[in-house]
Amino acid sequence: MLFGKKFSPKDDERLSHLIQLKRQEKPDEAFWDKFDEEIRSKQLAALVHAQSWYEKVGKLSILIARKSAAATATASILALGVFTVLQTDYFTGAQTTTSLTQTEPMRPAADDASAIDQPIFIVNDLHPQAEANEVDFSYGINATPSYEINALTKKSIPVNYQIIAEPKQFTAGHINFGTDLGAKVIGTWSHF
Amino acid sequence: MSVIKTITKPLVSSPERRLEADEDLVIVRKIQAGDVDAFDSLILKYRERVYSVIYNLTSNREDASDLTQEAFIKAFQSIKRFKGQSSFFTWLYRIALNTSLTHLRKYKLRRFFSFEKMVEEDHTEGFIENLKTESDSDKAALMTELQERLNDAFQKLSVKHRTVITLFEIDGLSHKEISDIVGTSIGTVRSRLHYAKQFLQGELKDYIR
Repeated sequence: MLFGKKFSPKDDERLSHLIQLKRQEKPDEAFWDKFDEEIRSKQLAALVHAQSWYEKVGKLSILIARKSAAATATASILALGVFTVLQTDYFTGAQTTTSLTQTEPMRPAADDASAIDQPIFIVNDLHPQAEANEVDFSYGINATPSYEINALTKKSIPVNYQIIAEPKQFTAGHINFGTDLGAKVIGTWSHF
Repeated sequence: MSVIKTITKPLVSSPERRLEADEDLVIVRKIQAGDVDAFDSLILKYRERVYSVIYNLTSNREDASDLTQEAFIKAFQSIKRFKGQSSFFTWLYRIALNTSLTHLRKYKLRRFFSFEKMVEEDHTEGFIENLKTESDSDKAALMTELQERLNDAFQKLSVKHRTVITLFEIDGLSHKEISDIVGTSIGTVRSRLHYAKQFLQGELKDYIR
């Protein structure tokens, strides 16, 4: 019955205008903000599910870097913090030299027990350019840097070591690996 | 040979659509090459239109939001398989429609409606003025009543008819574009459109005459 009824072209036009009113049913800006946030997290999740681990690491880091400057900044600060801590004396081992010269007690590493029976020479590179315990490959094979050698002896039980000898100066040509100077020489080059 | 050409020819009609399709294809190629961030521009470009279609199919703003996101995520996940045989727009709309139809089938027994607020514009106000007959009734109340009647009538249509009339009258697509998206002939699109209009004219006759 309904579909048998005739409608004029004007009715048809009016109906179109009426239906097109539905174009005005629009979400507000807050809706789109939430939408963007949600779809972004779903997109990241989809990316993680879809790819193998090496692709994930690469693309995810790019995506995160682009999408979140704050996260990148946080990660950078964290990395810088870790780097700074690692560069302190404690982690670089610079403390070793300092404490030895200041006659601070030092406990050897647990897996270094074989060295306990014999005094050990600690050899410090006295080259003016070199930092303590820093590997410096700029030295030529014919270079003759001097070394300061300290003898360590067992002081007490449990095993502690303390410098008891006055430092003696040697040049690279005068000591060799294994030289017996009353103790074992553990290295002869600046990068031992 | 000609059949193959017809099938593989990009499904775009107007010059504007072709330009749009070409632009989209450049972006798609970037995404396929690994620039996943480029997908954001496609989301930004189509989110409102895709949302509008899904919203008018489901008549539920929360569902429409979820389904729109789901459609974009599906497109994102499948974009490596997009060959460019249709425009990205057509491909995305197909995904959006399939996502919506699956949802409507699944939840047809426990559906509820939640409508967007109708934004009043000059075009809307003009229509309200025309609707006024006896008294200067409140425009907001008139708008609300009209919106309710309109949405109620829409929901009485079958999903197939609702889809066609939504794409034609609300999204402004051509018969050809609709037939590409829905996967039927242009004749079927016209037929469904005619049926849907006749039905809506009957439902909304008080506002038309």
